[in-house]
Amino acid sequence: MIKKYFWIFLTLILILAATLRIVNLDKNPPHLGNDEISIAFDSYSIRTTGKDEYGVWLPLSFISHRDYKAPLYAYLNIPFNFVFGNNEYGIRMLSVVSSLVAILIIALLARFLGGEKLALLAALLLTINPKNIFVSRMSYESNLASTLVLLGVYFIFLFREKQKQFYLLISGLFLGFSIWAYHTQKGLVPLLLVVLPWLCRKEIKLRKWWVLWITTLLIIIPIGFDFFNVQIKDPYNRASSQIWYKSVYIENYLKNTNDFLPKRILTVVVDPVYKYFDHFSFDILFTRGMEMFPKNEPLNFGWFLIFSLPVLIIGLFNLNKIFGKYASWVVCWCLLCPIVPSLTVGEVASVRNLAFVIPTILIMAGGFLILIKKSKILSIGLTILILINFFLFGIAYYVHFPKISGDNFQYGYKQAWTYIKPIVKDYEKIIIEPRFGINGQFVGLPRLYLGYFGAFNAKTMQQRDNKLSKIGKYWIKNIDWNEEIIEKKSLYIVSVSNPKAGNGFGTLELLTVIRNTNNEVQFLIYKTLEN
Amino acid sequence: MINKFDTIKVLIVLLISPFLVKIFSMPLGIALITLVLWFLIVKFKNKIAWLVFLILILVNLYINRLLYFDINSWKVSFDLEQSFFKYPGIGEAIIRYRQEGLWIPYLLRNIFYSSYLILFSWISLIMKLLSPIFWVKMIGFSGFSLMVAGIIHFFKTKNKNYFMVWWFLLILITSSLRVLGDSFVAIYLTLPVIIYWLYLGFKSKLFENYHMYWYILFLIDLLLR
Repeated sequence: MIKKYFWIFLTLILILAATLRIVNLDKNPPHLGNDEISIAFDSYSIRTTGKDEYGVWLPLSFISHRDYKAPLYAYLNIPFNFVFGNNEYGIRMLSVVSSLVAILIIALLARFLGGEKLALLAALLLTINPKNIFVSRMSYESNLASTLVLLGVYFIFLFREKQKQFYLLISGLFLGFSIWAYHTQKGLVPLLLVVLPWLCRKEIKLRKWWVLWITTLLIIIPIGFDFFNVQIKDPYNRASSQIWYKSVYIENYLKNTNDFLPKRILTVVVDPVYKYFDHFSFDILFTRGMEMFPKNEPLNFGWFLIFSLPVLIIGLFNLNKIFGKYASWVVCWCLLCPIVPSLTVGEVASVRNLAFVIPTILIMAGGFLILIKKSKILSIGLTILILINFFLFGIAYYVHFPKISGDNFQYGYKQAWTYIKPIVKDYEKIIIEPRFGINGQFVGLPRLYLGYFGAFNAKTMQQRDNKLSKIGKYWIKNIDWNEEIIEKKSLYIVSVSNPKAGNGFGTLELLTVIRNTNNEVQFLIYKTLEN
Repeated sequence: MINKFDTIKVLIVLLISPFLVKIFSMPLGIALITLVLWFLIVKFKNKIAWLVFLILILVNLYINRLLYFDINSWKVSFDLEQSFFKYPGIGEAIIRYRQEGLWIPYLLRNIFYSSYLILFSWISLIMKLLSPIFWVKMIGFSGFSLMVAGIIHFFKTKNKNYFMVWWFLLILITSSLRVLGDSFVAIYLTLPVIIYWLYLGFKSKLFENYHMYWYILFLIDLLLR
């Protein structure tokens, strides 16, 4: 029956996946985040002027916050921006679509590896995967990149079976463009290109893979040149400062240590090894890796549902049974993914290791299939537990997460703009503070929110006065009320940490307050008195 | 048969592990009780396992500073506030969820957002203690790889002493009850099981096949100390 109605079942799963990913997309996450707004504005800017925020014509990397973002997401998003306009859908829908494509392709790959049942299980497990839901509702470049890697790897699998060079050509295209989509893939893709052919060198001679290598190489040449160009032009860019040996911990260690040289070298080298193991921490994978809530809170969830752990274990013990000659490929795919993220600074960043989710889900689906074959009762019991687990995740993510996460997404800038939009024409100067948070401890990007949501167009942004932080009549600066010269017809949007002091608010009148998602005041909006 | 050479190697592995400091900082009484309990369970196995495990849990809660005994007044107390049962942060979070959870009627809300949610925070800590990185940091790369080889060997042998697995898991589960516990103290009582698995590791096929790589890991651990 499953074979006969495979496509109907898969369509139903895709409808469920789309529902889980699209519902309330503009409200959860509650606001466009730091990276999202940057990509969103650049995409809009490219669509309308052909240049990015800084006026660079069709860039191969977007300067953004000096992290020189990979360009593919912003370019592929142009049609979505055109159709949906400058709002949350206009930037997040591409991520939703790439997630749906990933679900479709994992189903096709699993069907190729183990038949229709495995395919539907894999698709369903990815559909309800907390990490995939989370990232597909935000404009993460890594989500797009991991889908492209999946597509590339899928065609490599097909090549091994059918040995047609055409598959390698397609695979090379996808893998090459995945490097255009996210930085992590710059390391992961070469690793896959070397390790996968090497693992089956007895079956397929290494020289037969040339189409794959050449295609990928040709695709990445422009981005490679741009990468080196950036390193020369801006050697202290944020992207290159993310390498592990530039971390504060390593720098302090090297500065203060008296250890002998071999130990010093080893300490530096071993740091990413610890981090690599960190990616396999059960608490990160199953109970708290999503970091939706503060540590130790009960509704924290991991990258995978905790009740999928048993099927992962069963899958790991039955790899050969499930995947046959492809077992080593699936395992290597899984093991290679955390290597590049381990070479970066900071805690385990799940976004950098997103590609890891796909092969793990394949193993879980295989484990589930084995369990179904061995014990119907146990598999039904586990299915119920997984569904309860998913329901709890749904409550945590769709109900509670938006209420607590305002600060993480710079909540308030869009709302402040929405409030002043009808009256903005009556004012000659609008001053907005980049700092926000209850103590003004965070720094936001109000210029991008204002630009994206319609305060000024992309051209005005490109012509802005960086020294004065002035864009048209909008001034972005932190305000010291003792030194501020308050001019007539001015509006002030200031952090709650910086209220206007003085008798009767001086010459300013409080118009309104903008509240955070947790109902605490985030911004204060003042206007100058009429006279 | 106990191989003396393997025993020495196990001791060396433990000596170079970060775990070593804690072994010597534990009160002698606790070490003695552990030894007695270990002896009892090895000797009598399932017959008195329940009693051994009960004492083991109490001792583990005691060294994790959750359970207090006052022999003079025969008073026993449990530090609820340091455990997941009454840890302030978790309780406050559950109350907050209840206030936010307007998707269900008030009465059901009180049931849905109640103390059972504590279980998730507890499981999270158990998961942490079961993670590979935790053990790598405790007993080094060489110790961890040897322990994994030992565990695989343990499960492949016919006459498995399952009480060891129970001993190991009970310690981790009870230690995880403390919210901000000391990692070393949390696993201190698993020491006999760890030693046994390390010992088995040396006898395993994996070690036999890859012992050269293991020596490299050992060298790395040695250099890192």
